[in-house]
Amino acid sequence: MTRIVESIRPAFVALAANKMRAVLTTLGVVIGIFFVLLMGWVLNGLDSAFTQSFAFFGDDILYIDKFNWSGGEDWYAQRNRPKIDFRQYGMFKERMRGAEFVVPTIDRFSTNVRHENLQLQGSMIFGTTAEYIDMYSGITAEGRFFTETEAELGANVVVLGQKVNENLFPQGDALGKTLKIDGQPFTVIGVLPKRGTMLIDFVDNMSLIPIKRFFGLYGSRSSLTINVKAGGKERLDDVKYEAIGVMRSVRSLKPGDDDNFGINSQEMFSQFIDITRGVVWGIGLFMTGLAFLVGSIGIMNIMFVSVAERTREIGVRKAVGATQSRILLQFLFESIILSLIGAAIGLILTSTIAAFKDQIVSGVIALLSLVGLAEGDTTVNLSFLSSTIPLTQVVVAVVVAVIVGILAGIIPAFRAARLNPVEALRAE
Amino acid sequence: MSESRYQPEVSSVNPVLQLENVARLYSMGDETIYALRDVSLSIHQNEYVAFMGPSGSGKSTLMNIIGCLDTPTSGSYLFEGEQVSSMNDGELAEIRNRKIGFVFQTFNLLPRITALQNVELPLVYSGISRGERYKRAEEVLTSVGLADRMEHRPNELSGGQRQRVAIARALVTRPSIILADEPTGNLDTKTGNEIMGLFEALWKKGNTIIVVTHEEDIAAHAARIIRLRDGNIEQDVLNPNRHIPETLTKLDLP
Repeated sequence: MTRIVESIRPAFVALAANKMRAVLTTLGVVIGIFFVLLMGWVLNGLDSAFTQSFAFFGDDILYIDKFNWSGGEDWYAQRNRPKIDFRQYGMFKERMRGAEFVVPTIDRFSTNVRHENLQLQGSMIFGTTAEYIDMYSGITAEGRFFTETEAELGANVVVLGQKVNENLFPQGDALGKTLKIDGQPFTVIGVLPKRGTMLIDFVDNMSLIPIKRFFGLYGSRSSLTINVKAGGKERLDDVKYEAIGVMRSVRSLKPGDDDNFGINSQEMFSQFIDITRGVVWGIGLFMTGLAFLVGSIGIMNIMFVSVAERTREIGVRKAVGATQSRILLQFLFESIILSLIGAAIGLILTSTIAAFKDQIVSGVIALLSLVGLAEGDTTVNLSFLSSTIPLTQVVVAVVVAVIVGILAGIIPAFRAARLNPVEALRAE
Repeated sequence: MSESRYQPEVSSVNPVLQLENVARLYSMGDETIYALRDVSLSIHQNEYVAFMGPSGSGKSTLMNIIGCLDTPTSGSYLFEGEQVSSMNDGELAEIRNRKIGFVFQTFNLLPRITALQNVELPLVYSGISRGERYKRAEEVLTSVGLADRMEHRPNELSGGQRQRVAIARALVTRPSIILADEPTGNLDTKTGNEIMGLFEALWKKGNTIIVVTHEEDIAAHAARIIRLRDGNIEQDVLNPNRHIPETLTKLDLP
């Protein structure tokens, strides 16, 4: 232990003598650590955004759909599957025993949702039953959800997603107002709480109407999705097998036939996240690898210079009793400290970015709008990113920096350790 | 070969160091250069010896071998009865650390640390605790008259002061021998004399001192003079006309 402490001290003395050089040398490591931390930060943000988004959906819900969301089979073959209609939903619901909720949903993109002179294009219209709100959080932010009677009658009522609400009713006075969906009037009876994040914001960009009304408005040609809530993640597998069996009987499939429907779950969403993760990782790893390569070559280079400059010092240390391993340690620590200085600078840079992420983004937008590349009032929601770098990332950065320091320093340190003391003392 | 051979007065006492037929050769390309051909000598406790000779005589090589910075190609070198010729790096480093105090012509102090830290350096490598290190370094620096210069860096000290720091560094481990290579070579005559006075005082205190020099004046301080030529001992004699320098300072030396 004392050996280690005593080896660190001269390393600091040597580095302090050439502060500017030390800092410049670490530039590669600074960039490397910067990327590592930035990557970790973004991935961390993605994960928490994912968790947040799907906390709402619940992790015990299956989606029986005409399509397998994960792709899998040929899409054209899936397209030729029979649709799932409301009658099949009714039969399914009747036969399904193990599920807590069985709720139909059907959706399409509206051409136009408008209130007075504000309008929204391409938002989603969702047809469902009264049970929908119970299956999910059970809460509306304002007002109420539609009742069974309203659903049964196909009443002209609508519950708005948060984004639709904000766009059409900036004053926040939606309740009781009448808006037009593709020309048909609907009374706003409720507003849903914000459910999505920047990544998955379609869940807020929707208007929910009774499914019967949906059929009235758009016809019943498109296929619906049956939402099956298992009532606990541990029951998911059992419910899934039952659902497959029930759905096969509803569809009158013979034992040898393939399923002509898809059983989907929340994990399918995660594929989307995985692709994003993959891209971040790919870019991040490449940049990081490159930066560390450059960084360690830089450190190695400067360590060779340092050994050459201090040949005489090495000779003196050997003359007064330093063993090869002591000299090795001294130079290895110098290189590790150099690398850690780089890591510290990288950490400060990334932390600054994390702390001022919103200001930085709005600054960039302001700059872009100045040259006409962005709308001045564009906002980007970065709330999925934390404003500090997670501790685990910091630990990883430190470990990586130490490894880079060792790899970069080991050859110069060996050269120093193996110097012949007589020749070293003769050096200029 | 040697004209006369010095015989120690008390031959029964084991010598501090004993070289028998030591040779050191270097290969330079196809050529083999004999830096030392065949050297045998013993040095006892509390001797004051000067190695003399022109450049190329082998005196530097001999000093390196005695100082355990180098090992002989052939022959035997016993340091306090231990065979140095076959030692590995760690063992040699330990002997250098505990048994030998080097004083160099160019002082060889580390420039970025204080006088005190320079003196502490050998103790760092012998694993002495910080407090003890400080105490001993302070003690030795005080004894060479540098109590008020301890926190100065080498470039803030005069040549004589630097050499005294170097001597303090050599003394701090209480070594068996002090090995000085042209210790006055970079000093003016007056300062050189002061340093030689310091060696005189150290010798009187019972230290064993070996000085390597090509200057007759400096060698004249030693009690025994060994002259080398072409890698051999040419002469090994007691010095009847010792030049005894003035010890200017009354130092409380270890």
